[in-house]
Amino acid sequence: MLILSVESSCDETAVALVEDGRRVLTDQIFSQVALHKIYGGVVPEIAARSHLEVIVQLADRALAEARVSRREIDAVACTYAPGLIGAVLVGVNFAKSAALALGVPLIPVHHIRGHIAANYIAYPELEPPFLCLAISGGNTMLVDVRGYTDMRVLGRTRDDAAGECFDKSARVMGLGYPGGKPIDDLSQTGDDHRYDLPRPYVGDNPFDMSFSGLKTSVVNIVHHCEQTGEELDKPGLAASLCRAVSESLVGRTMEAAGMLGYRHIAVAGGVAANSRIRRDFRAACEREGKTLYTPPMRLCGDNGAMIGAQGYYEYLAGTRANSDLNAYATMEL
Amino acid sequence: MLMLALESSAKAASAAIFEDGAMLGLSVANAGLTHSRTLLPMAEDLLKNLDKRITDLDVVAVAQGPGSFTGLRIGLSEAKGLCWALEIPVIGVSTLEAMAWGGPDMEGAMLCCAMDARRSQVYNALFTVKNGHPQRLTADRAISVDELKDELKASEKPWILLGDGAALCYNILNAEPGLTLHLAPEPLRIQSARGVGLAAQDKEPVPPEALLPVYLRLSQAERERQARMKE
Amino acid sequence: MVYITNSERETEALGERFGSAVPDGTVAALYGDLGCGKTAFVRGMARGMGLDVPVTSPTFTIVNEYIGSRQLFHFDMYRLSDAEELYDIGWEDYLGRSGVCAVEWSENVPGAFEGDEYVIRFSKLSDTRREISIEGGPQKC
Repeated sequence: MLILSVESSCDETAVALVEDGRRVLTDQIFSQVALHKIYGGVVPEIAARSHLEVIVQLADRALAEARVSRREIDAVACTYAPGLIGAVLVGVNFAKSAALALGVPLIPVHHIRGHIAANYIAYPELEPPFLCLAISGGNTMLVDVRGYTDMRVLGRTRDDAAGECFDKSARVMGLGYPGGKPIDDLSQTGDDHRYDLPRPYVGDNPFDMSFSGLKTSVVNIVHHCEQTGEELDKPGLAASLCRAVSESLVGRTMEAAGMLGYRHIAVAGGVAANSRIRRDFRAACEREGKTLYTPPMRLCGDNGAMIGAQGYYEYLAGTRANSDLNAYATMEL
Repeated sequence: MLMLALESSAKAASAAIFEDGAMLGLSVANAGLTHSRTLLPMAEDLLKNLDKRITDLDVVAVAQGPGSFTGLRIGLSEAKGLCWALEIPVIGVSTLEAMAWGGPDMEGAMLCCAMDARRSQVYNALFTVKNGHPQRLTADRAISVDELKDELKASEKPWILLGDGAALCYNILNAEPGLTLHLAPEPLRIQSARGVGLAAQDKEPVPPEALLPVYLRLSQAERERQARMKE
Repeated sequence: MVYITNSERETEALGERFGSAVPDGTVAALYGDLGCGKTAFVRGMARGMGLDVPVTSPTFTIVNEYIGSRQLFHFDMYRLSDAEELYDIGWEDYLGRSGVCAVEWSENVPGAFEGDEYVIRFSKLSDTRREISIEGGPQKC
């Protein structure tokens, strides 16, 4: 079954063609497609969120690259929530019109379910149930994936996402944006016990997390050094920060895995690229005999393929939408 | 030539079907629901009730702007989705021009199309009716009601006000000496897909990727000022 | 009016008082550097408006919508590079939606506001103390 999938929840626009939920024929992600390929010439200035300006071109390129005709599309899947409403609306309305015109079913997909489903593409043998830590730019969530369309959020961040903590710490330390990689690189030569960063206790839900206090601590440390003239040990701060974030994330995840008896643990989202987090997860999983799944970077950011993957399983579960499908900024998993 | 016309720039959403320039059907939804829930179902129902298949469509016409950012995005995305899937072209029409085409058509009438643009401004364009249809006197622009007043007075003719900004303009300018204003009759005052379809009749269709929204944002001067502020 | 808060909880409480006092259509422009308590203030605003929903940082999402008996639209312009991008995110439409708009990193979008917004400035006095000034709002005679 061939699904045309559309993703436009915030910064990216992507159109993909996915077969049977696992085989990706093509994934046209706007920010990664060189502009000249789309315009074939002088490139006008296009903002990151110009979904309307590029969606048709991406759909055309998808068909061309996969060497597939419109007639072969069996269904259209699209992200309908959550996200930036102006962005999600473009994908939803393009997709539902295309589905109507092609005379095929329309499948609405939750964006974070899509991130979790990126694992199905990276690991053909992975099937629910498993535990998934979703840590992308705007999300930090621990999910009990009981079935392809049966999920329970065990815990989430109460304030900042983990990735945001890295970005903002990097900014106050004078490193670039996005901050994940510079912090990761710096931390390699740092002493991870150099600075004492708080391990926030969140309260009623033991699996909930909090990162804004960490961010504030980093900000305070940097300001102190600026004010007193004391030298800031940047590698040490980076390393201490990575250790603190990792301990929160890995700790909560392994606890949940132990409590619920999960043997399979998946990590989804761009923050999974952090080397400390990966190292700690690998070590913890080995120690406790769990299998770890971490998709490659191109599947960790927003992309169309993950929507096609989840779309397939939503289709099998009977999830459908009509021509009155709306977009939502917020939606429970 | 079968055409689907879509209008979603303001509070009401509407869809219409035209065949060879004649309107076969029109549907309007004005209950405050988001156009994402009403626009495509109206198009779908119209086709069904008029015994047409979606694959019979030859072209889609859509209001391009100015207007509500969200509303326009919905209409434009739907037009793009339909045209991409059906491999047919699209026609983008100015919201204000569609408004004029849907308005009164007495020969010589002076039409002032206005939409509330916040910040004491209106999206505006002026038209006159010649040989039965509207002809542009100005480009689409965002101006203050004050500036509009001077232009309207300069013509020394009575003006018919259209659009959701019509009442706003009327209330502010009605007592102005040397200015005669009429509010267009209610059914003709607001833009609709009927106006879009009429305005689209002699326009060149384009491939769907070429269709872009027209928000009529900050003026160039404002953009430059802000660029200077950033440096 | 200038306020001093000694903890995040106090900043939230100030936000709660503000949120419960302002009507629909209010726009609050927040100014202040990283870690000054802007999100904590907005968390309080939500509570003051009777919204029992988690308030998280909208840095990545740009806008978070908290909908209940009232509506709070929580913006974070940190990732916007200029006021033009405001249109891409539907700023004008949000202003017309009769909710309350709270905007973090307002510094990034000069020209977004119409002059009737509350200007709320945050500054750090120490690791835990903040000075928060609240001015502006719809012009009163």
